[in-house]
Amino acid sequence: MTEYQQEQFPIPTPGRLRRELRLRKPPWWMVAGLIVVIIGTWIPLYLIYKKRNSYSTQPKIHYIQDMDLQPGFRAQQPSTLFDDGRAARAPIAGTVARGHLKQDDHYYRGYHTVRKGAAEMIEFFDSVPGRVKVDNKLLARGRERYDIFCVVCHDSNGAGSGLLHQRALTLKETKWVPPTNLLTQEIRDRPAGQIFQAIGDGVRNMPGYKTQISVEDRWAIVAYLKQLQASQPVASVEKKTKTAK
Amino acid sequence: MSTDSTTGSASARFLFPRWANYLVPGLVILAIGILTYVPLVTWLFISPETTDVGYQPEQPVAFSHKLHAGDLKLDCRYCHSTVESTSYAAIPDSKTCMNCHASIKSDAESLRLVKESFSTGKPISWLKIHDQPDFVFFDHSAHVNHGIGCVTCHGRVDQMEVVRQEKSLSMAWCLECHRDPTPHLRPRSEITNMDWAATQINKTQAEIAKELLEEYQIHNSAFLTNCTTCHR
Repeated sequence: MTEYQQEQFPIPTPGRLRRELRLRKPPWWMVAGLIVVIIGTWIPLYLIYKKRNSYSTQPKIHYIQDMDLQPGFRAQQPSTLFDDGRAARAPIAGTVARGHLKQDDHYYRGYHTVRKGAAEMIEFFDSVPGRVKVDNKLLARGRERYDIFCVVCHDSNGAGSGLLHQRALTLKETKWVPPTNLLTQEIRDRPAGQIFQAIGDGVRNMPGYKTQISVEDRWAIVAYLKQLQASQPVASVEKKTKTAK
Repeated sequence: MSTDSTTGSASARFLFPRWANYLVPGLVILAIGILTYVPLVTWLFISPETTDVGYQPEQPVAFSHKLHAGDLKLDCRYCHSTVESTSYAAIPDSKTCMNCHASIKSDAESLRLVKESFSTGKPISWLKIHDQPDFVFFDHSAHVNHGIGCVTCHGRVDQMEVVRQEKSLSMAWCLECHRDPTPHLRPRSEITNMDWAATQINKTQAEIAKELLEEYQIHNSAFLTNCTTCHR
C-alpha cells in the first residue's frame, strides 16, 4: 500500500494517478461504458455525414428560425386572402396606370388602323419607331434576345431548324408546324411593324412573346433580324426547314 | 449497530472502492469531451450545409431542367425572363410552358397540370428550393448584371433531372464572394453559360476579373460586406 492510499482524502495528483492506473485495472463496467460512449458519439456524426451526402425531398428544417419567415409577401408567393390564391394583384380591368397609356401605335403595336371608305384596315409601320435608336448597342441587345427567345425554333441563322424543331421531328409530333424560315423573300419583304407585331402577339403556330420580351427588346430583335437577313443568302421557299435531320 | 466514529475499528470505516479513483480524472475528461463534442455536433447539425444542401423536393410537375436547359439548350432567361430586371427570377407562368407544349407532347399525362393551369388560370404551386430568409435583401438583377453567372449559386442546373440546392446559400458563403468576387466574375454575355471558363477566351480568371471589376464598376469589399448591402 502506498502512502497516500492510507490518507483519509487521497488527492489524485498526476504522479499518483499514473502509478495507480498502471497498477490497477479499471472495473469492467467502466471500460464497457467508455466503449459505448465512444461508439455512441459516432452516431450523430454518421447521421450528419449521411444527410450531407444525400438528397432529401423533405422540407428544410431550420433549427434556429431567427426571422426567416415573415408575414410580408414576396414575389410570386401564395396568399389565402384572395380567391385566386395569389399575393400579387393584377391591375383592375379597364384601368391604366399613370404613364402607361401606350398611345404610340408605332412603338407599342407596330400597326395602326386606317379607314378606307367604309372598311377599317390594318396598316403596318415599315420602320423601327423613331424613339428606338438603332445603333450597335441595340443590335447587340437584339442578337442577345434573339439567341434567348427565337433561336430555339428559328435557329441562329434564321433558317428555322432550331433544336426544338429537330426535337419535334424526332418525336414525330403531328401537331407541330415547322418554324418559318426567316430568310425567304416573303419574310424579308414584311414591314418592321408586322414582325414586331408577330413577336408580341404570335402568328400561325408561334405563340406571342409579350409577357417574356419587353417592347424595347422586341424592337431590338426586329432590328437585329433585318441585319441577320441582310447577312444571309435569300432562301428559296421549297428549301424551307424540311432539311432538318 | 451504530459505531462511534471516533472509536470504531478500521474495518468498519467506510472506504471508497478502488474504482472511485477514476471518478475525478474521468469526469474531467468527460467534461472536456462534452464541451468540445456537443458544440461541434450542434454546429455541424444546424448548419445549412446539412439542413439545406441537397434539398430536392418533388415538384407538382416533373419538369426536367436537364432536357430543357441541357439538351434543348433553352437559355435560362427564356423562362426566368425577369432575372435581369427584377430582384427575383420569376417562375414562368404556364403560358410559357404552352409556348411549345401546345404542339409538342400536348397529350402527355405529365403535362396535365400545366394544361389545367393554362386553361383555368390557376397557378401551379411550385416549391421554392433556393430561398433566402426574409430578412435578406437579395437581388438577382444586381448579380447577373454585374458578372455573376447562374451556375455560381445554382450549380449545374442543366445537368439536373430534378433541381436541388447545391450551395449552402449561408451568410458565410455569400460573404466569401462579397469579400473577393474575382474568382466568380464572368462577362455579361456568358451569364447563363453553365460551361464557361476564362480559359475559353485564352485569359486567366484573374485577368478577366480585373477587367470586369473596372467595367462593371463593382464596389470594393468594404461596401459589399456592409450590413446594409444585404440587410435593409
